[in-house]
Amino acid sequence: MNRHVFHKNLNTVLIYAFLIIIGFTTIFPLLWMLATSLKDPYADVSKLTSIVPSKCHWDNYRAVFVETNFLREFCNSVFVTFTITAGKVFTSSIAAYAFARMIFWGRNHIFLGYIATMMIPHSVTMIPTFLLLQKLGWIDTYYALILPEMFTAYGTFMLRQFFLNLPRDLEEAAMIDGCNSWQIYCNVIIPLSRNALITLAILIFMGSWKNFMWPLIVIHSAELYTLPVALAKFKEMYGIQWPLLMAGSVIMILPMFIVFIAGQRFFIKGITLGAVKG
Amino acid sequence: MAMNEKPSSGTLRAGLKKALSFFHLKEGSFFYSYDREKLVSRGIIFLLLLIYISVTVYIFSQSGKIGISDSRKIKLVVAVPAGQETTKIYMELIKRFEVKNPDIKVELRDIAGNYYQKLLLMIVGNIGPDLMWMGQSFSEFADRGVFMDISERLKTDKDIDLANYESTVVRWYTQDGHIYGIPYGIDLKFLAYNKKLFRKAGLAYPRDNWTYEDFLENARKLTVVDKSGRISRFGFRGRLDYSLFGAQVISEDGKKILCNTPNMINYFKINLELQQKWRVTPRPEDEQQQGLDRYSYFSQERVAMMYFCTWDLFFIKTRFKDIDWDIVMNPKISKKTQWASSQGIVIAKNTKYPDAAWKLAKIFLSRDFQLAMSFECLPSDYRYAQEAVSLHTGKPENYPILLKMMKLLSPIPRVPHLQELFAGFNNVSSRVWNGLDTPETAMTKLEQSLNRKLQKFKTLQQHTEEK
Amino acid sequence: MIMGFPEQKHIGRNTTAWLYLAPNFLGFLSFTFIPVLFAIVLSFFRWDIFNPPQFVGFENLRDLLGMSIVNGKIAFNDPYFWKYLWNTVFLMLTIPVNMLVSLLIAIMLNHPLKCIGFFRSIFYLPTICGGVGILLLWSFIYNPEFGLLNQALALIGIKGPGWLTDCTWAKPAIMLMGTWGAMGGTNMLLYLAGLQGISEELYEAANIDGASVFQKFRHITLPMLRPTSFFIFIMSVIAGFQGGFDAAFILTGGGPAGATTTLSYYIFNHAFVWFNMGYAATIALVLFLIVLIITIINWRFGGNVHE
Repeated sequence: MNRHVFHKNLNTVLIYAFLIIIGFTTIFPLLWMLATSLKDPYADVSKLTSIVPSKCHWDNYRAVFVETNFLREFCNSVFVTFTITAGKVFTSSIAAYAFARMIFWGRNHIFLGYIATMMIPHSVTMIPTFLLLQKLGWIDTYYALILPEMFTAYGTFMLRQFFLNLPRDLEEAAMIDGCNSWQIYCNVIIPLSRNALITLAILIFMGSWKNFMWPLIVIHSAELYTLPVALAKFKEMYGIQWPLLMAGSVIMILPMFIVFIAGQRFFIKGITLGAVKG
Repeated sequence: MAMNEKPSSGTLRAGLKKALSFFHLKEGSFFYSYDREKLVSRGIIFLLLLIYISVTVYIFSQSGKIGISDSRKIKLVVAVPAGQETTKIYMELIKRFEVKNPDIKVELRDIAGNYYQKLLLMIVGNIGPDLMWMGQSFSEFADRGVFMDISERLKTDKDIDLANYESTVVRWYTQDGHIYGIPYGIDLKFLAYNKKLFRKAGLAYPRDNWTYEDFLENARKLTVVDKSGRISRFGFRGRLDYSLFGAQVISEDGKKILCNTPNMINYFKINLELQQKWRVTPRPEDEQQQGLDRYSYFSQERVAMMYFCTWDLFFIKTRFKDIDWDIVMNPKISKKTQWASSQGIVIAKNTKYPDAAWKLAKIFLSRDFQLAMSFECLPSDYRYAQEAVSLHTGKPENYPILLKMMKLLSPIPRVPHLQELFAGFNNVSSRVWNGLDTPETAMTKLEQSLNRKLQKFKTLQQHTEEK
Repeated sequence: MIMGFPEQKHIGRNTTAWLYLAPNFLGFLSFTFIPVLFAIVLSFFRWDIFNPPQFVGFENLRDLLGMSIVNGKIAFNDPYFWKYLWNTVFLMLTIPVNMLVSLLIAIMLNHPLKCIGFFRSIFYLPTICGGVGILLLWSFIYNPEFGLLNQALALIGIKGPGWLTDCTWAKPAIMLMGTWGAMGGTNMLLYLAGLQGISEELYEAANIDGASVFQKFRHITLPMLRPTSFFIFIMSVIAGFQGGFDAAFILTGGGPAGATTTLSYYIFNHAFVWFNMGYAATIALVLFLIVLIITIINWRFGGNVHE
C-alpha cells in the first residue's frame, strides 16, 4: 500500500516537473521580451544580455507612442479588428442559422461549396481580390481592410454544426408563442450558443489582429497602417534599438492577452466545438 | 473560477443594491441585475462598445483634419524613401517652392521599408504619387510605362542644359529614346582604407593607379592572425565588382546574356580566392559570427579596407570621427570602371498636373538642392560636383577622386524585367559564396534560365508590337 | 453528419432564409467564389497590371511545372518553384513533432491536479501572442551576438551559429519557432477534449489485465484519439502549405540563399513585387491542387475511422 502511495506521489511530482519545464520554456521568452522592453534603449547592446533590467525605463512605452504614429496605428487596429469581428460573427451566425434551421432552394449545394472553399489557400483569392479592390478604387482605404474579411466559411460551418445540435423545444415553444424568425434568433439561439459565439469572436479577433500580409498589400498611407505593418516598419526604423522594438511588440500582444484572459472560460470550452464533431 | 460564484449572503445583495441605487440604476435598466455574472458580461459589452466608439471617433476626426482646410487648387504628392536627414532637405525645398507658387500644395510622402515595391503597389492601386524619387530600380518602372516622357520639355525648356550632365547618366534615365528624368545626384562606391593600420603594417598608402597585385599584397599584410589562430583583422571586406573584371550579366543593349564568360568566372574565382585561399576577406560564416553592422567592422579596426558608398558619408562623418582614414580608386584588374547608382525625381505619367509637376521637378535640379544633397551623393551636374568637391573639407582627403570616378561610370543595361533577371543572378551567386555550387555550374545553370526568360520577354514584346 | 439536414419544423423558407444568408453569401461570392474563377482565368494570361493582359494559354503552367533534359540532367523550367516547394514541405516536418508534444502535454494536463487551468493558460500564451510581435522577439532570440539562444549555448561552452543567416540553420530555426508557438495551443486543447472523451472504464479494464502505462497508451489512448489526430493533421497540412510568409518577410527576407522562402512568399513576390499576376495565380492554383490531393488522400486512407 505504501508503495502505491509512493508511486502516485512520484507520478505527481514527475508530471509537475514536466509541466513546469514546458511552462518555463513557453513563458521565459515572453518574460524576457517584457524585461527587454524596460531596458535603456540607448545603452550598449551588450548590456541587453542581462535578464533583469537594472532600472525600469517605462519611458520606452511613452516614446513608442509619442515619437511614432503608434497611437493612430493602434486605434486603426482596434477599429478594423472590432468591425471585422462583429461583422464576421454576425454574418456567419445568421447564415449558419439559415443553414441549420431553414429550408431554401440550393441549400445543400451552397453549403457544400462553403465546405469546399475552406481548403482554398489564401493566396488563390488574394490576387483577384486585390485586382477587384483596385478596380473599385478601394486600395488604401478602410474598405480594403475590412470588406474582404467580413465573411467566413469556417465560422459559418462551425456555427451551423453547433446550431444543429441545439435542442429544438425552446424554439418550438417560441414559435407557438408567435415569435418570428428574428425574435427566435435573438432570444433563443444567441443565448444558447454563447460559448460558440464567444470562441468564434476570439478566434476572429486574434486572426485579424495579427493579420500582416493583407494590410501590407492594400494599405500605403501611414494614417491607415495597422499594428503589424507598423511594427514591421518600426523594425526598419529602429533596427537595433531592441528595447523600443520589444515595447512595441508588448503593446501589440497585450490586447490579445486581455481578450484571451477575459474570454478564456468560454473559449476553452468552445474551441473544440467545430472541430472533431465535424 | 471566481466569476462563477453566485453572491450567497444577503448582505452582499444588499450592498450591491445600495451600490446600484447610488448610480440611479432602476429595475429593468441595462445594468440592473443581481446576477453578478450578467453584470460582468454587460459591463464588458459596454466597455467594448465604449472603446469601439471612441476609437472610431478618434480616427475619423483625425482623417477629417487632413482633408478640409486646403483651398489651393493644385495638389502634388512627392514620394521619397524615409530618411530623417533627407526629409528635412526635401521639406525645406518644398516650402520654398510653395512660397513661390502659392497655388500649388505639395505633400511629401516618405515611405519606409521596401520603397520600390510599395511605390509600384501604390501606382497599381491608383494612389500613386505625382512625382517620385527614383534610383536603381529605374528600368523596372520605365518598363511599365509609369513615367512621363520629358524629352520634349527638355528641348524647349531653357533652364536645363543636358550638356552639363554626363552622357552615361542621362542614358541611365533613357529608354527607347525617351528621357524620363534627370538625376540630381550620383551615388558612387569607393574603397575606404584605414591609414593607421597601413602605417602599422609598414605599408605605403595605396595610390590611385594601383593594381590587383598591389591590392592583394597589401590585403595579406594587413590581415592579422591572433595567437589562437583566429583571424582578428581582415585586410579587406567585401567583393571586387564584376565590372572590374570586364564581366557583365547582360549586354548593354539587353540582347545577350553574358554571365557565363571567362571574365565572370574569373570574378567568382578571384573573390573566392580572397576568401578561401588567401584568407584576407571574411567568408560568409566568419561574418555571421560577428553580427556587427557595416560601419563597426571598419571603426573597430576589424577590417583595414572596405567599400562604402556616398550615401554612407553622412553616418561615416560621425562614426569615423576618430579614425584616420581615406579613400582610393579601385585597383586595376582588367577594366577601369566604377559602380554607381543615381538619385533623381521623376514625374508620373498619370499626374493630373504635368506642368506644375515639371515646375517642381526642375527645382530638384537646382544648384542649391544638388549642393544640399551632396552630403550623401555627388551632384550630377558636373559644375556643381566640382563645386561640392571644392567645398569639401576634412576626411576623406582624397575626396576629389570622386570627380575622376564620375568619368568612369559603367553603363546600366536598359532592358525589360531587369530586376527579375538580376534577382536570379544574386540568388545564384549567393549559392556560390556559400560554397553550394562552383562558379562554372552556377553560371551555366543561370545562363540557361536567363536565356529562357529573355527569349520569353522577346516573344512577348513582339506580340505587343504586332498588336 | 456534415450533410445531414433533419427534416423538421422549419423556422423560415426561401425568402426569409435568403435574407439571412445574403450578407454572408455575397461575401462568399465576391471574395471567394468569383476570385477563384478569376484566378483560373488569370492563369492563362500574362499580366503585369500596367500593360493590358495577354492570353498565353498554358504557357504559365509549362513555365512552372515543365522540365527538359539538358546534358543528361533534368532541368526544370522554374527550379525555384521546386526548391521552394521542398522548403515548404521541409518546414512541415515539424507537424508530427508538434502533434506528439501537444499530445504529451495534453496527457499531462488530463491528470486531476491543482493549477491545471493555470498551466493550460500558460501553454496557450504563444498561440494568442503570435504575429509580428512574436516574430520580432524571435529575431532577437536568434541574434548571433546577444540573442537568448546563443547566450544559453555559450553557458555550456558552445558557440552558436548565426541562426537566421546560416544556410543549414535557418530552416531548423524557423521550425523551432513554429514548435514553440504550436505545442501548447489549439491542437493541445483538441487533444485534451479528445482525452476527456475516452471512457475511464477502458483504462480500468486494462488495469485489471495488468497492462503497463505504455501499453495503455499504445492500445487505448492512441486508437481512441485517431479522429482527433486525423483532424489536427489535415488542418496542419493545409495551414503548412500556406504558411511561412510572415516569418520569411520579417525574419529572413526568404534567405539565406532562398533557404526559408516558402511557396506563399514566392507567390507574394511574383504577384506584388514582380507583378507577374498570371504566373502568381498559376502557382497559387497549383498549391491549391496539391492541398486538395493531399486532403483527399488523407480522407481516403485516414478518414474511414472517422465515420
